[in-house]
Amino acid sequence: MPCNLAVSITKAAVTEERLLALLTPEAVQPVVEAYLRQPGVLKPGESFNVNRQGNRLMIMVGSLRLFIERGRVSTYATQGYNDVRGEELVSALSNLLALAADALFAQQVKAALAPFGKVAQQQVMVDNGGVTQAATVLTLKF
Amino acid sequence: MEVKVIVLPGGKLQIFVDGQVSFEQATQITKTVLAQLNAAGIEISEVGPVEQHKDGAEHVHIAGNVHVQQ
Repeated sequence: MPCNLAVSITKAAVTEERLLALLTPEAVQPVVEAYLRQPGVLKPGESFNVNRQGNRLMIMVGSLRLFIERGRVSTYATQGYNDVRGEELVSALSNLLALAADALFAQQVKAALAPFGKVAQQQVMVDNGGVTQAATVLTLKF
Repeated sequence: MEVKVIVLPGGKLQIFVDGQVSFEQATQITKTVLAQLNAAGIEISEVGPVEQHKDGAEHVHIAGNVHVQQ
């Protein structure tokens, strides 16, 4: 909808805690595994393993141990790895989880709107106060 | 009438109402959409006022690269 046609505009938000709560181990595990399988993500000689431990995921990359719990990534470096590689993976996984949370939230909103009828979905780039951001547009026609 | 819910990074939303409706009707529709989101378990923690676009409400502008998912 070109914005010059809009009758009204309303802004709303959920808390960060609420957003991070979407990042359950069940939701996160396939996302993390798909990411780590991408060419170039792991260094030569590295392999990975992802396991659920209650409310958290434990990810082994070589002998480096990473944990994801409620959307937060932490690491426990063991011998053979330095802090730089750990920080690199924590940063990459943190960015991945932020994108995953946004995608899961968009799906949750879409599902919530379903009782109104068919919901069309578009992935777009938006200018939000001078900042270009990826966004999901959900459209309902009454 | 058309309602667009734009889902932005970080759990933010902008709700646009368009069509042959008055501002009062658009306000009511927006409240209905927000109530439905809450009823579905999406706890909206912040809601701004329903603003009339002609009054210059600041909002997102959709750029290029639109990809439609069927």
